Amino acid sequence: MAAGDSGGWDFLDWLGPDTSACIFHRLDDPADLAHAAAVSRSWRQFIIVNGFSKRLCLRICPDLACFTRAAEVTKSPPSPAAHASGASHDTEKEHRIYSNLCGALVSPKPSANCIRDCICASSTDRFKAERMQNTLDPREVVGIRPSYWSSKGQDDPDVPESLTYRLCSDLCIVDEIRIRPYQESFHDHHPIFSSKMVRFRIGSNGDGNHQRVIADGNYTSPVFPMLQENMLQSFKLPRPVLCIGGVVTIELLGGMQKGIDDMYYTRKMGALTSRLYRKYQNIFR
Amino acid sequence: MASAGSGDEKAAAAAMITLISSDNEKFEVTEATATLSQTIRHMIEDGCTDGGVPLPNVTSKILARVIEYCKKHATAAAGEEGSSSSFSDAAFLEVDRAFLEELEEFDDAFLEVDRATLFDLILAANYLDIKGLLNLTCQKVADSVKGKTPEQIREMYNIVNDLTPEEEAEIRRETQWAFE
Repeated sequence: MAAGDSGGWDFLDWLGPDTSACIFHRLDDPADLAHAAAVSRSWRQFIIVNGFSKRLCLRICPDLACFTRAAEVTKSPPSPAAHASGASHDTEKEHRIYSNLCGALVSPKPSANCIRDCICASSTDRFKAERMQNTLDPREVVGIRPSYWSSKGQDDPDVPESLTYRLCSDLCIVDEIRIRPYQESFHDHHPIFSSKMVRFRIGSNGDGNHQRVIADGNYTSPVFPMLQENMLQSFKLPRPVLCIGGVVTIELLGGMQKGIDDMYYTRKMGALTSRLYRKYQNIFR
Repeated sequence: MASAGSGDEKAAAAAMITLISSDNEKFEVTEATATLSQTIRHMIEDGCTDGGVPLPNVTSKILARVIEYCKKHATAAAGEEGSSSSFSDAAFLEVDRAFLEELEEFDDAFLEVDRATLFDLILAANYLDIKGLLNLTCQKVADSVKGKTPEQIREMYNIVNDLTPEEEAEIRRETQWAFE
């Protein structure tokens, strides 16, 4: 045990692979792992061969366990430096992909809205004036008209209504969805047409049929209560969820308000900036 | 506390085990202290501890520290068990918290050692299979790396950078987000 005498304190040499693994396993910030992988050839090789980036990624986002293969899409030919670790090309590539994915998962950068367009609503009352596309516009009033979507209405308030959106990539990380219920301003008591609760279904089984009514995917959120207020309400998922297939359904559960002019429970939503998505275009299932 | 079970426990706690370091120093410890090590626990279960347990991978200096750790944590574990039966819930929580705080202080002070000792403690904890000690010491090393750049890590552990400048530039380019 005289490694210190030679001036070297490299714990990878001192402690051997098994015990060093205990230490690297405790690096739970992706940046620390990335820094460690740039210290020396042996550190880099150790981290890559043991798949620490992938392990950390799975700890941060367990949905990723369903990935069977990761592929890179690159515009430039692979560079010779890719072999700096001496590890095989595939393990090196896997390290690179998961390392970057880890970094993106915990990135402090403000996330972007990643709803691209509407797929369908369970029902629409008056097409055009009250169509679902209106929910993509954050403004409360567009031109002279209030901007919102309205369901046709049900005589049973327990029948759920739903809105299904396509995201801007087949793979997105979703951690928050924001919804603003619509409040009518031209009636005396300003009724609000919210639902009591909301739930999110995230992902699609990916058979290419984007016209399905409800996302049937990999994740169903808990049920969140909605405030009966005309404000952009934020629903933070318990953990960041990987949306596989790029489809999200918002289920509006329990109607609160009967329409003034009709006898049905309608749900009307103003803006629905679903948010907080980060998109990945260079990783495929 | 007059049941046969607690009587057995007392007998077990009183049983002494002799540990022999690589430099042939002998340490007498209670079985409760020694069995924090899974390795020694298995030896006791297999009945091969008569005449002492030789530990050829651990020096007397390190073994003394390991025993210090095990004594403290064995006492804390026994104290927790005792308190659960003889205090009300509130009092138990109070005692529990005091134990944990004292244990944390002990652990912090325990880790105030030079790097060679820390590394030797990790190797001993791994060899003796003492989970708590292995976690504690590995976490200390991991914490020393956290928030550091590759240059700072190399400097701290005197590691030679054998990556070529081109390779290093490429690695940084690949994981640019980590170096911003």
